[in-house]
Amino acid sequence: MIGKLIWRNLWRNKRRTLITTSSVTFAVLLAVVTQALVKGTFGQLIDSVVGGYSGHIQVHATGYWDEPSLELLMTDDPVLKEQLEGIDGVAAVVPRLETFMLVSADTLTRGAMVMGVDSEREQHLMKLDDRIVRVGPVRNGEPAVVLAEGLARRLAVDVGDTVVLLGQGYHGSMAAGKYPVRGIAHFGSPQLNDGLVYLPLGIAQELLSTPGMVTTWALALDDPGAMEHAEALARTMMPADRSVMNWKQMMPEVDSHIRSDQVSTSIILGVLYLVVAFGIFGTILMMLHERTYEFGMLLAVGMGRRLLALVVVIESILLSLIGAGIGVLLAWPVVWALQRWPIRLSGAMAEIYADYGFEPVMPTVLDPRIFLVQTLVVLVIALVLAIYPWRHVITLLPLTAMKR
Amino acid sequence: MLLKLAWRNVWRHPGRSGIIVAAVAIGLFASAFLMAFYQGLIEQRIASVVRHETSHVQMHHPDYIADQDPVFRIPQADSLVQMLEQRPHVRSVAPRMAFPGMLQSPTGSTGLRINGVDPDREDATTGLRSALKEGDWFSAERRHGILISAKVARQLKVKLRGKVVVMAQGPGGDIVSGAFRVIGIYGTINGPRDDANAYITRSDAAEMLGLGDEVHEIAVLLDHSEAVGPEVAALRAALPGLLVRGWSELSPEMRILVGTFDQMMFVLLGIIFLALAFGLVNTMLMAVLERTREIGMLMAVGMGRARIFGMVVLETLLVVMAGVPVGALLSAIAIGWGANKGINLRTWGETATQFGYDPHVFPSMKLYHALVILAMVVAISLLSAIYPAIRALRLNAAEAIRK
Amino acid sequence: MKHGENVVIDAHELVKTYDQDKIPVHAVNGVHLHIERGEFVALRGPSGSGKTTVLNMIGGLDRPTSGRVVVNGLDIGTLNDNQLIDFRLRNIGFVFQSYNLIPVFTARENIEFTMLLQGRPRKEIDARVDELLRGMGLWDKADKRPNELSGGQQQRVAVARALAPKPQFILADEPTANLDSAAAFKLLDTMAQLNAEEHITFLFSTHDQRVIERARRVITLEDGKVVDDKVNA
Repeated sequence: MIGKLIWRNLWRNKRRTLITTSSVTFAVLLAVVTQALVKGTFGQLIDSVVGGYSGHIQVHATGYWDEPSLELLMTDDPVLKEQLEGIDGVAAVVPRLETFMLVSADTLTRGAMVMGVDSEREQHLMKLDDRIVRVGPVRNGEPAVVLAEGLARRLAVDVGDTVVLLGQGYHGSMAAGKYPVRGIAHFGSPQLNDGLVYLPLGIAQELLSTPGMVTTWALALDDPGAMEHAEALARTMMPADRSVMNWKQMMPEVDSHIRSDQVSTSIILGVLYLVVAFGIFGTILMMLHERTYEFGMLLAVGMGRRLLALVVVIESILLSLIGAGIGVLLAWPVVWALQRWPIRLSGAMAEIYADYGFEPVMPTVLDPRIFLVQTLVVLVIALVLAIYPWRHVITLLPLTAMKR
Repeated sequence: MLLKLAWRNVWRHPGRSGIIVAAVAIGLFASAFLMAFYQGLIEQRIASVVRHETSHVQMHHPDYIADQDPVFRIPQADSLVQMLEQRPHVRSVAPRMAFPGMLQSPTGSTGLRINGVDPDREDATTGLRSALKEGDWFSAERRHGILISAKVARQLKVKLRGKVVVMAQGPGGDIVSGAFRVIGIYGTINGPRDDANAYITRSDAAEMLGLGDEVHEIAVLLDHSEAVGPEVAALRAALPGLLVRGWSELSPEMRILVGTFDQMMFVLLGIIFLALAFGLVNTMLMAVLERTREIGMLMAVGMGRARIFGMVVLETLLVVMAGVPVGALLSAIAIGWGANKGINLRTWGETATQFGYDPHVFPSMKLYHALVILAMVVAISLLSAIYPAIRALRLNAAEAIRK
Repeated sequence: MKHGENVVIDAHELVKTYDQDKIPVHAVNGVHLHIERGEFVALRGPSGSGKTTVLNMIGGLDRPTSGRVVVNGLDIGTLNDNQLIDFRLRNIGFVFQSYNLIPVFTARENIEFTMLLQGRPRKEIDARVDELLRGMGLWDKADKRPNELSGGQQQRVAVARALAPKPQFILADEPTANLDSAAAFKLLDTMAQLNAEEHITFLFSTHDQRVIERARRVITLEDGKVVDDKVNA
């Protein structure tokens, strides 16, 4: 009976109810879609930077990250590696030996990042084998390098040509080696595409006089959610001369960038909700004013104060929640559609995206948590707004209410 | 008379109208402040980029851009520089030999950009000297000096007066090198950029590369930013063999920032005011429908349709406009305070400096933007008034009285 | 139309039919009326007799299903909605049972309202309003809002408002329905006086006996038809 009362009261003034709930729907729809876009964009960023290069967690010799040098190496210890790979969520431990060297071909020389890699394991991160665009003939067993596309172009070399790697090895020893180019690889990020050379780990270790040593262990996670847990565990496993870092520590600027964008989005959405809240409050006020006589009459006739107040409060809250509910229902297909057919960017933005190897689209993420959070926000607003009608009814005097 | 009528009608329900006023004030305040904040942020960033990074105009050999290959140089640099310095609006000119190279120390190496500069001109243009954190500036006594960032110094494990070797590919394609001494450590607010650039004197660079009166890059600082457009055009015409670019072309980041700002703000305002419109339509509709008999009477007595429509529209405009001064005042206070004291972003974490942003933001409101906001407020109230006003008209006089 | 001519309201074969849930209701079923300038006429009849509807049709507030209303030779059925509004503004004064006044205007502002709508000059308006306020004993209430006036006072202000632009005739729909006897008499006195002095034609619809007794001519309606039309002594 009470339920019927509440429901019918809401529809007494169809137009007003419709307008009010649609304003909530509008806000929620916008909020959900915006959040989905924002999360999607960051997901894309993280996926490519973290998932495609640095890995979620890295292990180095303590002090290496701040001052990368060949003096701060760690042994490629298989026992420790196995321990790390045993952690839940860790797909693989990817060893790397990185340093900066000069790469020469004929008369051209360029500086480049030289990486000794374990191709098989790199399939979890950089997926090097997938990136090769041209392959050349290589005599079996001969040590060879792969050049990034941009670098190869600048050095005017192609597969089969020879390049010289020149630089510093361990303890300042001279590191020099001549290698045929066995492949050209394409990378999205211009930084990598214009400046990367990689070769098998063992060959690199030989070149740099650092047998059995690596600069980095990059941990590829198959469940990014497990990062914190994995990180903590890894720390317990590593000796004191090795440190464990997650990508947020390694690239705090990326993390801050994401966070500050989220903050500004939240502020804007906050203002939106605030304005909508005023609208709802106005409606509640009008409703109360209209029905003052009726309330007085109900109280006079014997309806309990608390009951009446409860009815009114529930009506007010429902007004907002219905709007939120519809908003969520509408948002779902919109976000889903945006996932399948994302918004295409154009102009300067599209160029920048292309530069980094991203498709110039704005990806969205269908995360149920977004929907939940927005609904909760509306619920909180509705509850706060409900205080006024509660107090109004509780303190209402039937006689004054019924005075025309 | 219509005005008087509309105004008094608005205040029949002070509570209801008061809510609209508050909502308008808040929406206005929020959008104005956000706009001013972002505007200030952008202006800050642009000023910083121009002052410390790109300057207003840069010119290069057209083929230099692709790989920064030192073979592509600008000839007769000295006379060109002198010519530029004499132009009106030009504050200073900084010629540079700039090429990619490698720094090597006994224990480390790193790749970065080597800039061979004219010390005085460089300082006048980018203020490099004031960026010195430790050590000394270039001088005749300190030959073969090099300036590097603190992080690079750490990476190479060198201290002041330590030795490094600079290796690079020369214009002839061969590898050239030179021994240098770290005479100073510098740092600007753009950390990542500092770590990618080292500075030596132009004469030392020329010696290393075997070049003469030639440079790879000339940066020009003007006395005010509005002069950029015309100056770039003029220089392009005067120097057809060179690639002349203004700061917005030099920095795609800036291009995007400035280009998308207006659109983003428009969207932001649109959203907020649209939300406002919902509440407005609702309220005005109620205000009209509850006066059915009264409006019927007005029509019966001879108040024409146009006047009744006008009355409703006026009421809507008035109630919204009542919120405008409040919102404007709040905004003026907040923006004024912010513009004076500056908002310190550092309290929000390290974001700013990571990107090379000055953590102090001074909100600024351009007149143009304020007018746009005002126009949108008026537009929204007019639009919101249409439906309620139409409803008021549709009330048939006789039926209305009969009700 | 000049204020001196023999104004004639001519209603021919007025019929007004409504559809109420598919059943036609004949509110007015063939009414003939002929009213001359200076008359003080009461349209009487029980509820549902159609008197209000007839009044509305004469005043142009409602359009007859068939039949014509001719005011001084002009068939008002030929006017469109906007023209009708203007016609009413310039020629007819209305007094309703209630909700006559604009709640946010004072008595003075209410009275001058129709003249302002017509665009009369300020001086003329002020003079006329003062005259009316004094003549109807409302001088000290000039700056009061309707919610500060008694029922009778509100109705008198309404009459003043109707009279202000010196219309051709005044249509009043149950003007005394909400008034006590004293107020009703006062109102009737005022209207009778105006009728006598300024020769303004009054047409009431009413079932208030007090009004009927004061009218000089009484037209009785029943079931949408005129059943009696006689002149009082």
